[in-house]
Amino acid sequence: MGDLMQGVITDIKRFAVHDGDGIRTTVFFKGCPLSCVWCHNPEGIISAPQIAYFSHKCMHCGQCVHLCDSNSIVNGEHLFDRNACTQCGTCLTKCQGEAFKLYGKTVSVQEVMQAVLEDRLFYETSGGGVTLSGGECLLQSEFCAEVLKNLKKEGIHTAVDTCGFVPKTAFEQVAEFTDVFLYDIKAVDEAVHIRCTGRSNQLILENLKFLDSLNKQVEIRVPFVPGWNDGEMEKISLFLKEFSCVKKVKVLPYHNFAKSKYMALGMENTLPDNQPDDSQIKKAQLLFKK
Amino acid sequence: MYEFNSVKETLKAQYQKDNWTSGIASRTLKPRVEAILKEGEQISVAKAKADAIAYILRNAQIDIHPNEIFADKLNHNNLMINYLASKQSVLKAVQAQDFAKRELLFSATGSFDALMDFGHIAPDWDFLIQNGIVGVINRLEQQQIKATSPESEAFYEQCLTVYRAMIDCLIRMAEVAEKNGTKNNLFMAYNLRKLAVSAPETMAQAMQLTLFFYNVQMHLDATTVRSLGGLDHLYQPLFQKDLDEKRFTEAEQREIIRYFFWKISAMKVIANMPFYIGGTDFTGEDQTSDFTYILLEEYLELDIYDPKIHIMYHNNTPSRLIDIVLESIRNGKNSFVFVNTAVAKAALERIGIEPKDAARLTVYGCYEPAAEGTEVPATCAGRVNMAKAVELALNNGIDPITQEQVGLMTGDDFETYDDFYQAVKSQLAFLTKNCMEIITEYERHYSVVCPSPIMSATYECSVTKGKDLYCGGAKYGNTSIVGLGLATLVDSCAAVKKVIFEEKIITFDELKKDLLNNWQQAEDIQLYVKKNCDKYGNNSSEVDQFAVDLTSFFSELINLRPNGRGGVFRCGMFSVDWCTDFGFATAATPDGRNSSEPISKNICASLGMDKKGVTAFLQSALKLPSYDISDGCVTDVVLHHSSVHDDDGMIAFRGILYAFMKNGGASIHFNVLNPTILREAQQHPERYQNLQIRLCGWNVYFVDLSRDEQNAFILQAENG
Repeated sequence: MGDLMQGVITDIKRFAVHDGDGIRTTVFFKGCPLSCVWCHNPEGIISAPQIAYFSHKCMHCGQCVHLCDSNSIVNGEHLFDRNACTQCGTCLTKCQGEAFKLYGKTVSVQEVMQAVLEDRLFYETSGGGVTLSGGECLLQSEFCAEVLKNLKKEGIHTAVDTCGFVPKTAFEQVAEFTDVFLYDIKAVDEAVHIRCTGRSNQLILENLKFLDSLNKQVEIRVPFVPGWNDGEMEKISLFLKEFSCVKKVKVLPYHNFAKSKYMALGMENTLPDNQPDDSQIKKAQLLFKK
Repeated sequence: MYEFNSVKETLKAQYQKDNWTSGIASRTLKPRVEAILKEGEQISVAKAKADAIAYILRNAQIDIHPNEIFADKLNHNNLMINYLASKQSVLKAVQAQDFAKRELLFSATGSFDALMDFGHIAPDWDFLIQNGIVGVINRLEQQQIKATSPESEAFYEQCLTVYRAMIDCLIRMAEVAEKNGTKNNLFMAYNLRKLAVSAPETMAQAMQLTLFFYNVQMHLDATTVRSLGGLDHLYQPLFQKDLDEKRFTEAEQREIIRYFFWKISAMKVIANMPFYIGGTDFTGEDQTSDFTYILLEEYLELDIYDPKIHIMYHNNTPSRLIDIVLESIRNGKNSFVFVNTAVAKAALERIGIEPKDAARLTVYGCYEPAAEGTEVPATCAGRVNMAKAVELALNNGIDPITQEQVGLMTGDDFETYDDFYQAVKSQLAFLTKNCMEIITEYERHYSVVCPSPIMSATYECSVTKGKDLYCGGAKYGNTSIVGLGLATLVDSCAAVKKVIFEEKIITFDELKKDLLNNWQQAEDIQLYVKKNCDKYGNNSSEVDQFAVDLTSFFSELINLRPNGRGGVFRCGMFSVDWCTDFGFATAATPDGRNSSEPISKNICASLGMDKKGVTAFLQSALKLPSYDISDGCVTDVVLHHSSVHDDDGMIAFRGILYAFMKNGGASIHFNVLNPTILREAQQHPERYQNLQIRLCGWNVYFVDLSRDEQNAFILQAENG
């Protein structure tokens, strides 16, 4: 059955050093149930394929103009009409400046396996492995479970990076083949969570309890976004005390470097302006060390 | 001694302004030395050289800075280096005239350089430090009694002439230091007088001997010393003895080490002065000691980049040593190269070096392994532009820039890709064989070019045989040929295969025309080739196979072929910065490179073409037959500071090193990016396609960021 399964991904990144232990390859799945204002991977939000156009890489060669109605050059400037784009991806093969990028590639389990096994020798010497991330990878839990099962057969360490806002059944499908969950907690206060992500956090907190009951290894990740969830740190640290599954908590300082991706995707930029300073992060980190 | 920090700045001045005292002024010295050379040459060049060196040692002016503790400055006025140059000129003009003419043509067309390499060597530091100059003299005198031929008698006599004069020079320097009378100079004088009568008895004396000998060999033997040896194992016994006998405290020893490194740094030698630490002893045991860390700590504390340090990596290299070095690198200190001792030793054994000799592994220059104390590796004698082979295959052996017929006439028309590929190999073989032929001819005349009594006398093999190291004295008198531009060659072959034979986008004639026009009016094809053809360095099976096949082919052309000194040729794969010079003489190439741009560096991918990142690049590099590349091949890895700056990054950094070493990598050099490189990437994004910026779990390519975001990141890097 696994042979026929397909997943939709935005990218496979090698030499990922902050997605779990050691050197890892991270598979970014497409589609996410949350709408975090600070999302730095906007290409992972919607499930459908998207063409991104990075205008600063355009060489104005005109190769794309003849391909479809969505590209034109007017007064020396390249105009990209997103509404006319069918996401066929032909422009990717012709563009000399590599200004186009297709987010949303359909892949088989074998294709993912072939790609992630390439760096096996580096996993072995660094205690690394493969991380499934996104978007929200567990929206495609059946596919993920198949990939993870294959990875475990190969003896490779597996991590699932999740926002937790998925049905419990998704965790049931992958838990057996997952060595560690990288689990986001953005807020304990439900109203704050809704303000930040557009969704309630009840399912997320419930699912964490479920992982605790399975005695799975969990690394909590707490994004720190000034003006949005910075008042939640103490509450999160208190909440986490009752979980024996939590082995590590990482505070991730918010950065607003994803603006160019929003622009390239033609998406409304929701990124907050304020970034935390080091002292704020250190203070938050101390809370979780207690 | 004065406290180091109180005199540190004044010590730099000694290499910026001379203050000669004692001895004969250089304007008087020069004609006297020239007269000695002329007279000596009536017997032999070796005698002339020995007599001239001895005269300089006994008479040249001396400069000793009052705040210095190590003596080395002698006003030699480059007389012996100029003498070597004149002998080389005579060889090319007379004895090897026809070969020199051929060399000129190949060199002018950027095909290869065929040189007389009297550098990339060192004395047998182990013998020298353990026995001193007095020990060298004793061994020479013992062998002199057993001399069986007039030639060997002359060799011993010439070596002794030089070494006895070295003793006199030490005493002369001591006298100047005593006359200066400062606390530091009196310490120096004591050590110099000790070295005049015995082997070094303290670490400071060993360092004094090293610096004195370095200067004398460099400038009087005119054989360029390109390693100070394994400083930790060389000095450790004396360091320990000093402590045990309470001659010096550890704090005092650390002060002496600072003076030593500082002096080397102030000398500003070309391409930095290398030494190595770590590695294994004769029994294969790790020879890292507490002293290794003391040396390293003091080096790092001084915050200097010269000398540069080779880390001799093996399976049991302590993680403490690795972590200190990686920590330094990620903080911007890039003066370290890791050398895989298992690979280097095995490669040396493959060119006929006995295991016990290969076990005395050293590294000369940038990254060239050799057997210390038995081998003359001439690590940079030949430099073949591998990329030129494609150019010549495309043009029936004619160099497109000069229109000279430098290569074989392999034809203009190729029915299949295999035919073309065979033509490339034929051209590569032709260049390589010519390079070796010319060097072989030069080497036959070495006895009249560069006898080396100073260095030879430290080598047991040379002293036992009674022969100069360059003229039959070396146990392994080898010569190295290095290939450069591998990725340019390989990517060009892959491009020809794809666009001409597979996709038939253009014809051979069209490609040749486009290359002659430096891709003008064919920018679309150039971009197509750059973007769509597979490139070496991305773990792509077909193009990497070309790299393996062409490297193996090249190494087979070279390895174990007899040279002109009774040894063999050995293969290397590195470019240093010659890729710029050779690139300048190389027209546009089918991989999309423009005319005169540098060809690819070391065994790296072409600039900006390793788009799949560091792990893919390393896997491509690891496929190359490193065991057949005894002269070394270095892998340059560029990492961004954000990838390795934290604890996770350190684990990843270690992981890269271990994966590389465990899978047979030869040597690796890390460069953690600084803001300057980021600015360069901003100006030339096409060269930095693979530059990844990673912060807290998310990834982006630097070139995908907007200019403002890039600027913000550069600012961060500057502050970081």
